[in-house]
This record gives sequence, C-alpha cells and structure tokens, in this order.
Amino acid sequence: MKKIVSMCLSMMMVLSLSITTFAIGNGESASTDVKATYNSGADSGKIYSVDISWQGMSFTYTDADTKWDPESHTYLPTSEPYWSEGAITVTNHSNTGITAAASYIAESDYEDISMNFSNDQVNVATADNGVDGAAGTAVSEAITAKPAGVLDEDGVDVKIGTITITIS
Amino acid sequence: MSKNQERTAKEKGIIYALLLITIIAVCVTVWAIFFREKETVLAPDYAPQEEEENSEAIPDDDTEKMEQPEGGGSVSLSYSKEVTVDLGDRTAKLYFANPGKSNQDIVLQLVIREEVIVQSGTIKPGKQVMNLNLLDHKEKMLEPGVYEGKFAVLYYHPETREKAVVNTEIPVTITVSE
Repeated sequence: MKKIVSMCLSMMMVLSLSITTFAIGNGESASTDVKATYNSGADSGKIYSVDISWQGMSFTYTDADTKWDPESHTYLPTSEPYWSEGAITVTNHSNTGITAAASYIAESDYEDISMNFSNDQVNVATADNGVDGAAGTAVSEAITAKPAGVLDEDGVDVKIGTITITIS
Repeated sequence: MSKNQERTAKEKGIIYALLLITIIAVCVTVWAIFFREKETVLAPDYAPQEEEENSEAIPDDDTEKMEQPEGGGSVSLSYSKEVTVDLGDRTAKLYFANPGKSNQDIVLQLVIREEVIVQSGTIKPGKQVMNLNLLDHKEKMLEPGVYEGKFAVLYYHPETREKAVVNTEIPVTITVSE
C-alpha cells in the first residue's frame, strides 16, 4: 500500500514539472518582473574624528611700567599689567556635530591666577555638510584663553595650570 | 572554686573574646568604608618610555603632518564612544586612534567616577588601540552593567616627553560584562 502511495506522489510531482516545461516551450513568451530593493549598508558604529590644536600656551605676564616719583619717593605705575593670549582650535571631521567645552585647573601654588576663555563652550557643526551629495568640509571653532591675576617676579617658565577641552 | 563557677567564668571569657572580635571587626569595617585612602592612579608628567603594547599601525594612514604651532601642539583624534569591559579577561575593548598627522604622543585613560581603571602606555602618531588591559585589581570594583565614564586624553611632546598644558576629556558609555 505504501509503495502505491509513494509511486502516485512521485508521478504527480514529475507530471507537474513537465506541465510547466511544456507551457514555456509552447511558443509563448514568458515575462518576469525584475525587482530591486535598496538595502542600506551597515553602519559600523559612530566614529568621531576631531583635530585639536593649541598655541601661545606659554603665557607671558608683563608687569606695569613704572616711573620714579621724586615727590613720593616711590615708583608709580604708568600702564596696566597684562597677560599674553593663547588659542585653542577644534576642527570637526565627524558626520555629527560636537561640543567643545574649556575648563581650567590651577596648580596648587598658582591658585590666585584664573583663566578667562572667550567662550566656555563652542558647538562645532558636522562635516557632513556637502550640498547635493558633494563632499563636506571640516568645520573649525576657536576658543581664546587668557590668564587673570598676578605672577610673581620669580615666575619663569612655571606651570600655572592645565586646560581641559571636553568633547561631547 | 566550684565546677559551676568555673564554667561561668569560662563562658564569660568566651563572651568577652567574641565581643572583642566583634568590636575589632566593626572598627575595621568603618575604617575600610570611611577612612581608607583610595588607590589613585597618577597621570605621568613625562610620557612613559614604553610604547603601548596593544597599539598597532593605522592602516592606510598617509595624511600630512599638522603644523606645530609655537608654544603649542596639534593632535588628531579618532575614536568611538562605546567601550566594553570584559571582567573575565580583564580587558577594555574600544577604538582610539592617534592618526599620523598628530604631532603629539598620547596616553589614554579610561575613567569611571574619577577612578582610573585603564591607563595605556604611549600611543604614538600613526597608532591605534582596540584593546587595553585593566589596571591591577580594578576588575574587583566593577559589576556587570552600563556605566557613564570618560576618556582622559593626555598629550606629550614626542621629543622632550613633557606633558602638554592642554588635555582632553571625552564622555563614553562603558558596558561591563563578565
């Protein structure tokens, strides 16, 4: 009985294949739609690419000019003391915007000297800024830094603190 | 002294001994929780002599060197903000590169709640790291889960090895697994 059933099934399968073959080979044209689907490539995780450059970070403190006053027998200031200025430039090559924030920690012997930044924080836009599929351009933003306070006379090439740029 | 009195004295002795042990244990616990000094990892003032053993050359890295501004430096950083820590093999898996156009050496720290758990050797320009080893015993302070941490990126002059006055911090997400 099993043999008969399996033979019947085999015959049915063979016949069904033949029918299809005959249909195509019978002088009729067969057309098939050619379909395509867009599948975006896998994003291998976000990679950030950022350049940071700094200059003029050997700050110079110039004391006030003075002039001898014969009446009071003291030196009188004729100008204001001042500090030189440094700059930090952050350039974004990433395909997402970033934020660069500046902060300063003074060395323990120089806690009276603080640091003023032109901006505590700057937004640096994405480099994915090409128009109509054109290549994008890296975007740069600068922060200037200038100490405030008085440096002692014996201060020569001394480390007064550390500037931290936080990129988020 | 009767047998009963002797037994009572013995029991008292045991109770005092146990009480003393309990007091000592409590004192040690209080000291350990509130007064024990935390093990701190100091960032070196001069770049370590050893290059990071896990660093490797960045493939196809042939960009031109950046300018070295007067009284300053230039670095290029390439990184992912996703870090995984495997407690089993005591490694952090991450991506951090110091491309060849940089003109500073880098020491990379991975920090969780002000605790440095990873500190690399020197990563030279043109090198990248994918794995870094946890510092000794740091695996004991971590439980599996997700932490908010940061990369602390320290820059060193390649010739004088002196640490720059500028450094960088980058918030990262750290996934710890067993």
